[in-house]
Amino acid sequence: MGRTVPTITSQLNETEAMLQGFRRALRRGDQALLDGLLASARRHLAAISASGALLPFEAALLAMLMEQARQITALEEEVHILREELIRLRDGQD
Amino acid sequence: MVKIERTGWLMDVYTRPQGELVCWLLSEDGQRWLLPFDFPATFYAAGNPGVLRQAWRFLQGRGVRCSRQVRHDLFQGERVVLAVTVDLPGRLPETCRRLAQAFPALDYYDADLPLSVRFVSRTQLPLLGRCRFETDGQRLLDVQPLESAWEMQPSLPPLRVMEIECDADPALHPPQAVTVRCGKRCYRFTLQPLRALLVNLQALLSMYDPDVILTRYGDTWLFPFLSEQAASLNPNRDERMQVEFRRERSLFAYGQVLYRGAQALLFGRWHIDRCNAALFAEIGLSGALEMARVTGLGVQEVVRKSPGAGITAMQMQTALRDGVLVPAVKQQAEASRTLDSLIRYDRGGMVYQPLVGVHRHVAELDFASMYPAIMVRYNISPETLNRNDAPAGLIPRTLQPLLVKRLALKHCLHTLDRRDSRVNDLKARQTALKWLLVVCFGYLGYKNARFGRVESHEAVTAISRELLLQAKESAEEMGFSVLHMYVDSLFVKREGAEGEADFLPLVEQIQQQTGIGVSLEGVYRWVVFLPARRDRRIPVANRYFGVFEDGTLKYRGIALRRHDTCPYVAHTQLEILGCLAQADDPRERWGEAWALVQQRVRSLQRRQAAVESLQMAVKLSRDPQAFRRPSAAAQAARQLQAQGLAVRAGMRLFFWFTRRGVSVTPPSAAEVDWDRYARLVLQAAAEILDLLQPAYEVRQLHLPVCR
Amino acid sequence: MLLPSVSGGLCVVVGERPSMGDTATRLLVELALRGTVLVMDGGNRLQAYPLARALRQRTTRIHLLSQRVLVRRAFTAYQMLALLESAPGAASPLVIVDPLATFYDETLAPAPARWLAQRCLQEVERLKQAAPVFILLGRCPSPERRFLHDMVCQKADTLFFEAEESSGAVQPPLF
Repeated sequence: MGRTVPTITSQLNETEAMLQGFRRALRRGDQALLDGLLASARRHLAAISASGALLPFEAALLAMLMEQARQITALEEEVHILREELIRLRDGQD
Repeated sequence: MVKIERTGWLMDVYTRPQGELVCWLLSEDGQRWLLPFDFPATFYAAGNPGVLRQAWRFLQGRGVRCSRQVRHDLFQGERVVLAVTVDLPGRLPETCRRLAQAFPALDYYDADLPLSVRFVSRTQLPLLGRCRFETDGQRLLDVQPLESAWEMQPSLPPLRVMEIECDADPALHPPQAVTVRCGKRCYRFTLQPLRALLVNLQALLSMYDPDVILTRYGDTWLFPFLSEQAASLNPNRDERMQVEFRRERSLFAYGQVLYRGAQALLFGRWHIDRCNAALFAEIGLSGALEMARVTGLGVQEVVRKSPGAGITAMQMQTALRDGVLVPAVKQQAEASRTLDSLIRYDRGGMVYQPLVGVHRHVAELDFASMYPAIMVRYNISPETLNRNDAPAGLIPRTLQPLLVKRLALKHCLHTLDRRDSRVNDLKARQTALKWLLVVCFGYLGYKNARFGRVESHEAVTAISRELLLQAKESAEEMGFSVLHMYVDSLFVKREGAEGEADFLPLVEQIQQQTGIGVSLEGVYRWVVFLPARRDRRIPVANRYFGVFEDGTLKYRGIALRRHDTCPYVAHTQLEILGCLAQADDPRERWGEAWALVQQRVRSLQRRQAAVESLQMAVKLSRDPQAFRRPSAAAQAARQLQAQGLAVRAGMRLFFWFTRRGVSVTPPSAAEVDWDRYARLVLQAAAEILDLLQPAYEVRQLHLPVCR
Repeated sequence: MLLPSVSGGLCVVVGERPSMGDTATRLLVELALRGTVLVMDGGNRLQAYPLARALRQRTTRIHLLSQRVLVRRAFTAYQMLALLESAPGAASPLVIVDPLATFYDETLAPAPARWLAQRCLQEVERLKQAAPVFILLGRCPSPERRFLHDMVCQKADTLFFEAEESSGAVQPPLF
């Protein structure tokens, strides 16, 4: 007895299997992007599960967006640092 | 009639074939007593009054006493029942079976209680408990308890232990000799000539008169062998009894196939087969005695059964003590719920994926016996569901003393020096109680648990998830970052927090907020959370290794922990961890560790490893004929079958990889597939070292060239 | 789909046990679109997430519809009987998925299994007076327990047999 509803992990595995047709028709480079996106959602399994969503893939999409946002923020910070560095170098030349 | 009064210990109770109950007692003067005792037993039937009247008539003239009573059903409240009492308790199961067959529509109660559970409930005397008893030399007249099951330092009966071992695993080779140890003496007898062996064994049994016979393969080989070859040799102390043989079986439990070997049980003494007693290796005799003491199941039963049987027996004791009927079958149906609610609540514990990588100065906080503690604190019991004002339920009443005792034993252990002679005994007892607590949650949701209910099961996990979220919030409010949470533990770190003292305020805070005890498992000098094997971008729960400040290693989910890893590979991983543990940061030692791996691989390539260290183990997931592909397990199973051995699902098989596949017998060095073992070593090394290798050193771990 | 051909009483659909989850999903979606539906799952066949997805494919009001699907699970034959006994004769249709799964358990002797099945069918008889009852029945895995399967089929007012899966290659439809 006990649990009969599958875990979020197996649920996401199932959804990924359903996306196989979509994935197969992508270019190889794009396949890697898709894999990366799907993998990034796995970092938030607890949150996806805690959402209690009827359609957990919706919560997984949100998790993917969050990971994108994290990367954007990190890149923005890097750009900011590089820009500062560039300005300093240019000022130094002047 | 001369009455004799003695103090001593109750060792066991059982019934003789005629149905009378016999108590095995050991008095302080060292005498062993096997005394029949008047012990009528009662079961109950309830249901349609007309059918009950028919049942009453059916029982007339069958040597039982019937009466009308009102008893308490946990779910239905007061019920009018037909009480059926038999004077010889051994006759109860058969009487009940016949009645149930004739009247299947009735509900039956107290119909399948273990006899020892009935006995300890009625006499208040736990098994192994100290007592005062009165006898006329023939029968037990009275018995009074002097000790409870919850005694922290129970008195111990002076046991005589005999150990019998054969010289080979009978599943692989027919044994040729047995070794018998009693006290400080050790005897070796060959199986042939058989008569000499039997005479010697009989003589030793009579002379030494052991209370415990501890064997290897006693269940599956020794006692069946003796019974076949020498029916005249009776290893029981009770000469009126024969050895009780129970058949082997494979069952599906805890999400896996389990194999239970045949069993051989004795009367008037115990037989424990180390190879067929699941927990015995971990808890030993002290733990087994503790389990028997608190559960009321005989020692021979507790070492062979799962702790779940122990928890069930404890619940039955609570029910008997409190006048609650124990239903023969569970009948509670799940209340209806919406699809939405099913998805929301039918979930397990909180698993918060770890942040993959190396982390330094990390504390691990554990909720102490989280699930049972929740059941007690939140009064989770099938009859208290959705009731806020309910008095303590049956499950919390059962678990409360168990929790308290285990906590007290743990506390006692902490105060003792590691070298103290009491440490091992306390550890064993504490572990025995831990196992009972571990399974009590699962039993709440077990389909056949008489006092289980799926909604209560879900309530426990829902509360545990909530508590872990509260713990996370507390940690974050105090500036810690939560690296990983796994059901009842969390891993946290904070800049500048390095010693235990830095984490104690958090422990306090979580404890205060949740009302559940929290302990600081320790502070890791470093810990590494590993990613999934198939994709390094995906974190995996409960797969890590680390070293505490005092140098102790802890690892989960790696090859070293798996039962199918061969000793050579496991030892390699342990050596790698030992090497890494010397550094403040494991990455500093990557080079040394890798050199060590190469050395281990070279040893294999030079065929320098002992063949025994290469023995692989596998648990059969299905019967051999059900295998479709010739996996190593299937090949090993078929080889054993070809040797005429019975192989069943759930059995653990041992084999070696050879150039021609696998072999269930130790191969010669020339036959061993050394490259395969080298690959296994590299895989195990990669599991640990991949994540630690410096960015400039990134390379695939591969077989070094043999020089 | 079966619905247009079923008016009331007891409808039994016999099919392969692995595909029973899909059949249950399709049937439940149709029924949930029309109103409340009760499900009793006797063999852990109900697929909660696929059912939610299937509902979403038919409607945007998935939260409303998921409230209309009322689920109860049985993990033993005794619990299956208890479920049926405690079910009020409601106006909503009842779907019983794999009711005999636990009756095939070798720990349950044939005699009590027969008695329990009889009692269950008496309850179904009562319930079908109030609303249609659908039983999704898996094919019997053991010949010795075949009588249980036949007992259920004999009670059916409408009996469907799902075609066994064809293993041969099938030309895909053009559109």
